[in-house]
Amino acid sequence: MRLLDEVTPAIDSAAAVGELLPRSGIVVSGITKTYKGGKVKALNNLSLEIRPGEALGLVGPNGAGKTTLLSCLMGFLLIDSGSILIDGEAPDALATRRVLGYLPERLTFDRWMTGRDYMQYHHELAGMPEATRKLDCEALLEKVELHPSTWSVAVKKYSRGMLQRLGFAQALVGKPRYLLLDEPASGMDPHGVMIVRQLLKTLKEDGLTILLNSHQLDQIEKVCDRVIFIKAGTVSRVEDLNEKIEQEEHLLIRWLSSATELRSEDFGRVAQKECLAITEINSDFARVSTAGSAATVKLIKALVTANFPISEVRPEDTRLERLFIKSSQEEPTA
Amino acid sequence: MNRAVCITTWREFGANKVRVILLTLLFLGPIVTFTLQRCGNPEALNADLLSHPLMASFFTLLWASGVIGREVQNGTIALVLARPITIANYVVSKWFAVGFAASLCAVEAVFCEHIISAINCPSLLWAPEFLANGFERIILCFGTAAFLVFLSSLVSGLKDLALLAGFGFMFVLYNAFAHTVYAMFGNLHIDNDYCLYFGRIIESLFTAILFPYVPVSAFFSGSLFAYGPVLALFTLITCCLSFSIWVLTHREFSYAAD
Repeated sequence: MRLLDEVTPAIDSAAAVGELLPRSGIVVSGITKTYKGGKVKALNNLSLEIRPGEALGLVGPNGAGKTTLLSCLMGFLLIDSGSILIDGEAPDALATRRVLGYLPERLTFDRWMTGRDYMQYHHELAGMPEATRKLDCEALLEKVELHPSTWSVAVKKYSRGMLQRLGFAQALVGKPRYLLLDEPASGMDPHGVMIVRQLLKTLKEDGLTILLNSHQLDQIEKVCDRVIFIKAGTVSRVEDLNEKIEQEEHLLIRWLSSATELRSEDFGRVAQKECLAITEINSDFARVSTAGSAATVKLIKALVTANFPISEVRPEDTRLERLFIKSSQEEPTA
Repeated sequence: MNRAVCITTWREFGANKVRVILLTLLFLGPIVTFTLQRCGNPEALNADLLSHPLMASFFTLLWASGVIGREVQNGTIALVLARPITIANYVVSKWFAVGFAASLCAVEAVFCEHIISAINCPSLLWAPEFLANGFERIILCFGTAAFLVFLSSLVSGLKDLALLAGFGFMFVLYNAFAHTVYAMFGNLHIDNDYCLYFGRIIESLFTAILFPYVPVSAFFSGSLFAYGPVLALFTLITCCLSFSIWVLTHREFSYAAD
């Protein structure tokens, strides 16, 4: 909680009580959630566990049930069956709400408020002390790099990216121990995306438990410890991102513009040992597959030794992208 | 009661220019009308020369319309309820915010009437009629606020106004029906007490909901007739707020279903 202690130096009594509670993480046991009188099954006997201090990514196609799951965790939706426990308490218990921070994908603001008003409103709702209100809110707004000149501007005049930053700052009000984030970088410019990523890393280092639902797989890959693939309302795959595994890599190798004459036979001869397949080769680039990162290193080494005019080597897809495709082709494990 | 919810309710009203204009008109209208009437006969002061306590209901309507429904429609209620605040606390805070603001407006309006009347005719200064009218307005504001908060919790946006109109229509319909039935009973010389009592209960229920009025002067004079409306008022407030809490507790606040 180092970062948040810097942000909110005064210790709130409610938060202090929260610190004393045992941290058992989030335990979801066989929850089912249906809409339209049972006609649409959004979550189907879904179970998962988020350990304290862990960053868990939530990945799945549109309509898989990710937002429904987050809404159930927040207690906004009434589940048909199963149970959800956050630090051993129900999601709608006041003790739980004291330790939860939430950023919805569909941002909702009192648009007549200014950014500062909005933060102070949530600071008060969170039961934080009035003495530190101004300081805390400004520190959080600075943390998400929302320019001070915009703090006194009505929220209705904010751009989408600014709203997202304000929403993120709101989620951090009240020194939460758990952060449930639904597309936190949605609508942000690349700089905003980087800020969010850096912020998530810092929050994770500070011991916050993060549940991150995002379609930006590279963000999940860089921040999360584990990723859960959801398909048709159930967990279809769980992947430990800290675990290093050798997986097939698809690479794009670009040549220097001066390399007008490149013989594909020469490339094939050098690369054939390390490549699983050479998909495409021309005077601008080559597309190849290798057995894994070790093979990729060997391939680059061999190409450099053979004086191939390489300007850039980059993976065509990430580990998560490959897993996502694989997962969407698999049947759910229920 | 949550201070942040109350203050935000008031500030939100202030940010809505249409509502502020309507409030100003509602404030000035009776003052001008009834003061001009009293100018013709400055010494007289009776119920007809004082704006009716019912004016308070209009102030409440202006403050309460969509007080919860708008938050449901915008989705802001979800982030409020994500904080450590109970639904009961939220509902009571909304009720108090509306009741207090409407009372303040209504009492200020009668106070302005009083001042203007007193300037016109100094003998009217601190006339008890004004005081009683002010108290009746406060009671009416909090009673009506409870009913309107309940209606607002049932729907989203400003649809509570439609519900209120529906209630009003039902009341008119019932009145027409009841009068016909009473007339028929009279013509047929049927003395069915149970039927008449039942009819009166329905009528009292409608009146208590749409016009939770307590005659303050009768109450302070110790008249037994005042206790019925007081009981009805407390029942109305308790029932409306309880139903409102129950409705919101069983309601889902998520865009996931979309």
